[in-house]
Amino acid sequence: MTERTRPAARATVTPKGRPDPGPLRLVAGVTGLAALSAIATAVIGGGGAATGVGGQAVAAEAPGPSAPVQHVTRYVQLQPGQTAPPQATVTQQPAPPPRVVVVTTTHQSGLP
Amino acid sequence: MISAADVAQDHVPSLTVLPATMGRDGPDVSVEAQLMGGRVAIHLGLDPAAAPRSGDVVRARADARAILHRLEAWTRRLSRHRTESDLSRLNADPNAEVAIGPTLTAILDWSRAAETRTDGLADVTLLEARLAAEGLVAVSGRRSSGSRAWSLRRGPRGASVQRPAGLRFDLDGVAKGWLADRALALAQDYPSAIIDADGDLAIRHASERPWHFAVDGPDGGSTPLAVLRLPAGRYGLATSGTSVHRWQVAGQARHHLIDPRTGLSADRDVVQTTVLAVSARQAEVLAKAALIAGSAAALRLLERHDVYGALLVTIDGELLATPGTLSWLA
Repeated sequence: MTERTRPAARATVTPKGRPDPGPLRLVAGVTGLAALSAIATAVIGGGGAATGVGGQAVAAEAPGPSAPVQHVTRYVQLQPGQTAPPQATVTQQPAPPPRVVVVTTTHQSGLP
Repeated sequence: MISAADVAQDHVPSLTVLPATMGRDGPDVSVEAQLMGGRVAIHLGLDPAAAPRSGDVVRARADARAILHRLEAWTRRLSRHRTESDLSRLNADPNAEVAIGPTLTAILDWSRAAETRTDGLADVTLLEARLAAEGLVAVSGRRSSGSRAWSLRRGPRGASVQRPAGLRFDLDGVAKGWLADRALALAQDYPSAIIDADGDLAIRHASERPWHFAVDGPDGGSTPLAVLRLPAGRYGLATSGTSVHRWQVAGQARHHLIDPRTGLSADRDVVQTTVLAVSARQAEVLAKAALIAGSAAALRLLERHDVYGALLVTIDGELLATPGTLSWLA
């Protein structure tokens, strides 16, 4: 008797034409880091603190002789347990497309 | 189907244990083996409302293996390719009345019911015609008398078969689904279970989310013909076709599905039929009968309360479905 393991699902069918949410989450994450950077810049620089969530543009000018660096935060992705600031516009992240996991197949006998 | 490959099988089939990865989208434990001339798998699902514990998974795997061994034992009794099987002993006996055991009695009982439900198209007395189609005997083109030619007389254990001398039985076409249903009954302690008898499925699941089952096309390619979405419930799902078991004899195309009205390989406009029904045994015999009947008669045959849906592929590549089928498509 021989035993071995392998994945149970024979095939996974994902409906076509829907975007893969992975890259979108990555973009949202990078944007979130940009927001943190803007906040940190405002706090460290001592300038008027400005934070924004949910589509409000936030500008912070760094002090110095060179051209000002402008950070624009359009979205912040809230993590579980976080709450949005007052007056922020909160939108729900679109649900990922439903995953269809095929348990097994029916077929003519003798097919591999 | 119980085929020649059974002869080469060890009495203990080689097993593959699949990991518990699917959870609510499917079963938790799967075990498979080469049996019935193909791949047979037992899938068991634990309580969908509770996280599976390791002890439950270990026990489920042991139960799945036990069910697989029972299936193998039943197959040994019913295969015409094993000389020591109950079926082979019946076929080889020269007497007109032969005592048989309870397993063979039970499936012959089902065979009679199947013949009635398919307007005579599911017929277990076609072994000579099947062998002729394979080029193994010369006789061909003999019409069948079906179940009118034989009878069962009940006894305290099993029964006796009365039949004309020389009448031999072939359980291909009725055995896989029947065995799958019987094995599913052994898994009654599990909320969900699937018995996959080389593509013919007995299904019972209790998950709150639907489970999905693909229908392979006649060429068996990687893209399924359709995906069926089944909510919690009890089902049978079976596919029959002529594009896999097909060969040439004297320059003529032959296959394994014999039309009892002609005694020859069925020559109709359907190459594959898939039936979703209340049980695997119903699905199997109706899928074969629909293919033998041809598309026009098949759609009438499949308009029954115990058939949930059916897909037919014609020789022109057209895909036909009974009206109720659309509601099951994913």
